Amino acid sequence: MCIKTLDNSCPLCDAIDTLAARSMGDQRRAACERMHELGWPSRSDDAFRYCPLKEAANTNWFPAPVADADASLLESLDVAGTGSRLVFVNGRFDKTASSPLPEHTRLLAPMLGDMELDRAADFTDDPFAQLATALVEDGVVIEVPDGRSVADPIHIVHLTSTDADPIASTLRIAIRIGKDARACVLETWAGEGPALLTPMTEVELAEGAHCDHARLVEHGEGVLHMGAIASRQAAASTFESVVLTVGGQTIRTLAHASLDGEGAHAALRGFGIGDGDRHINSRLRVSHMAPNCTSREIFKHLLPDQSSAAFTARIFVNHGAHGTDAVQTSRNLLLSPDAKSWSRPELEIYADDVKCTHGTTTGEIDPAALFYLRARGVPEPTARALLAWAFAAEVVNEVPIASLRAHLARRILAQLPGAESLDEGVVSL
Amino acid sequence: MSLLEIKNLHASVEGIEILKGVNLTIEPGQVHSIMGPNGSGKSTLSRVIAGEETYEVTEGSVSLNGKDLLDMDPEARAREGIFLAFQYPVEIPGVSTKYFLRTAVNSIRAHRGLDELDAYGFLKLVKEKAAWVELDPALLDRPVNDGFSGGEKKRAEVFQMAMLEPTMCILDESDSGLDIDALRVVANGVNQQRSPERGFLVITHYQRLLEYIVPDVVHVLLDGQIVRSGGKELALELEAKGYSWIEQEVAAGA
Repeated sequence: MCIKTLDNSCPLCDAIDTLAARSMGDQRRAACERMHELGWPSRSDDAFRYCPLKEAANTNWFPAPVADADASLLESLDVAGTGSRLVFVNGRFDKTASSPLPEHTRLLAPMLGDMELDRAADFTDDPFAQLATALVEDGVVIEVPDGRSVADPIHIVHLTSTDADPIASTLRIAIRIGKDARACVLETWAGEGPALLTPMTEVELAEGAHCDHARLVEHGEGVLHMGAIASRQAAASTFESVVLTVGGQTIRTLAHASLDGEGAHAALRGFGIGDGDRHINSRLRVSHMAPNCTSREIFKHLLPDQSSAAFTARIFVNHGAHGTDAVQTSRNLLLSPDAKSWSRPELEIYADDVKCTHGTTTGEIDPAALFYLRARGVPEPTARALLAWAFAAEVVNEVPIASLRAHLARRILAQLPGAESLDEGVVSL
Repeated sequence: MSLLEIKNLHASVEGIEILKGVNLTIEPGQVHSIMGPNGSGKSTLSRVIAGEETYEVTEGSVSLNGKDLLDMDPEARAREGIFLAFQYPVEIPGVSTKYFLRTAVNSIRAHRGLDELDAYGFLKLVKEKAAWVELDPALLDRPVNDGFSGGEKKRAEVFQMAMLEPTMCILDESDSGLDIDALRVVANGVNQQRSPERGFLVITHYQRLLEYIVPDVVHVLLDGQIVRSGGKELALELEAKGYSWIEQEVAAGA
C-alpha cells in the first residue's frame, strides 16, 4: 500500500482516484489524504507495537479484481444454519452466489451515492480505517424497525480471490436496530492471500435493542485482516459481539463500543487459535458515557508454534457515569516455547462509584490437570489436546448459533496439535 | 507373585529427600493402610507410585505383578492397573466428565484387549457404578470435578475407580473433609470393589475410615520410612496414643 508518499503511480491510489471521480469524491480524497498522513504503521507507533507489519510495508497492493465466488470454498462456509446468506467477492456483491435479500436488509451502494459511512465509527488515527472509507465499493445495511425481531441469522460472507498480485479490498457493514428490536448478524471472512482487507462494521442500537454479532475470520495464508468494529448504544440496549479467528496471517481487530444511554450492556469477546507465525491483535476501547452500563471483555488465545497474540484494551468511564460495571479479561494458553502474548489493560476513570476489574493470565497447560488425566490412562498427547480444547470451549460454547459452534469446533480441532486423537464427542459440552 | 512390591524406595522433590527407603509388599486381595503424621511422605508415596514427574526417584524399585513401574509414563501405569484416588481432585472446566471417562475407560480396555465400549454400553456401566457411591449421574454432565462439593469429589473418585477396574487401588486421604454419612458411602463403594485379585493401599490420618474399610495390614510411615507394621489393632493404638510414642521408640532404637 502506498501510504508513505503521494506517488500517483501507486495502483491503489490510482484506484481511489478513479472511485473518487465516480462517487463520494470528497470523503474518499479526505480519507486517502489522512491515510498518507498517518503512513504505514511501524513498531514505534504505539497502536501497532506488537503487530508484525514490516514485511507488508514493502508490498505493492493492487485494487482487487472483479471475480466470481469459489463454489467449493463457499460450500465449506455454510455456518449460519437456516439464515440467508449474502456473498461478496473482493469487496463486491455477488448476486448469483447470494440468497435473496432478507427482510430489513438492503445493499449499501456507495457507488450510487448512498454515503452513510462513519456514523458510528471514529477511527481517525487508524490508516486502515481510512483505507476502508477510501476504497469502499459495496456494503450491507441491516435496518430493523422498532419492535421487530429478525429470527434467523443474517450471514454475510466475504471471499478474497487473487491470481498472484497482492490485493486490497474492503466491505462496509452497517447494522441499525430500532427500539426494542432484535437481530443476529454473522460475518465470515475467507479466501487466500496475498491480500490486505479492511473490514468495517458499524452498529447503532436504539433503546432496548439487542444485537448478536459474530465475526469469523478464517482466511487462508498471506491475508492481513485489519478490521474494525464500531458500536453506539442507546439506553438499555445490548450488543453481544465475538471475533473468532481461525485463519489468516495478521488479524487485527480495532473495536470501539460506546455506551451512550443508561443501562446499556456490551460484551466483546474474542477467541483465536494461532498457526505458524499468525498474529492476532485486539485493540479495544469501551466508553462508559452514561450511568449504570455494564461491559464485559473476554479474549482468549490458544497459541502453538511461533504464533502470538496482543490484547490492548481501555475502559473509559466518563464524568457522571456512576454505577459502571466493567470487566476485562485476557487469557492465553501457550502451547509452544516460541509462542508469545502481550496484554495491556488500561483504565481511564472520571466517575465515582464504579466497578472496573481486569485480569490477564498467560501460561502453559496446567501440569496438575495433565497428571490427573494421564493417571486415569489418557495418553499424554490426547490429554494435552483435551485441555487445550477445554480452554477454547469456554468461548465456543457462548457462540449464539449452533451451526457456527459446530463449524468453529471443527476448524479449531483441525489446527490443534494432537486433536486427531479426540473424536467429535468432545464438542458436545 | 506379589501384586505390588516396593523396595528401598527413595524419592525427592526439588532436591529434598521425602522418601528414605520405603519397603512394602501387597499381595492380591489385601488391604494395606498407611498412617502417619503430616509431612511423613504418605502423599508423596502415592504420587510416586502413580508416576507424577515432579518427584525424582533416586533409588529403589516399584513393580506391579513383577513389571517395573518406574520406567512407565503415568498413563502406562494406569493401563497396567494402578489407580490413585486423589486427595484433592483437580477441577478441569471445559472437559466433559463423560467424555474424559469414556476416553480413559477405552484406553484401558484397549490395553486389556477388550473392545471399545459404545455409548450405550458406557452409559449402562456409568449407571451401575454411580449407584455404588450414590453419585447423581447428572453430575457427570458437568466438567470434571467442576463445582463439585468436597464430598462429591471424593465419591466421584471412587466412582471413577469402579469404572476403570484397576488391580491396585491407592486412596490418598479419601476420608478427609467427609462427614460420617459420606464416609460410609465412600467406604461402601470401596468395599464393593474388594476382590481376591485386587489390592488396596489406603492412606489416612484417622482410624475412623478403617472401621469401614478393614485393613489386613497397617503401616506407620515416619520421616519417609515405614517404621512399624501390624494388624488393624495398630490403628486403634495410634488413635489412642498418637504418633509420639513411635517417634520416641524409633529414636531410642536408632
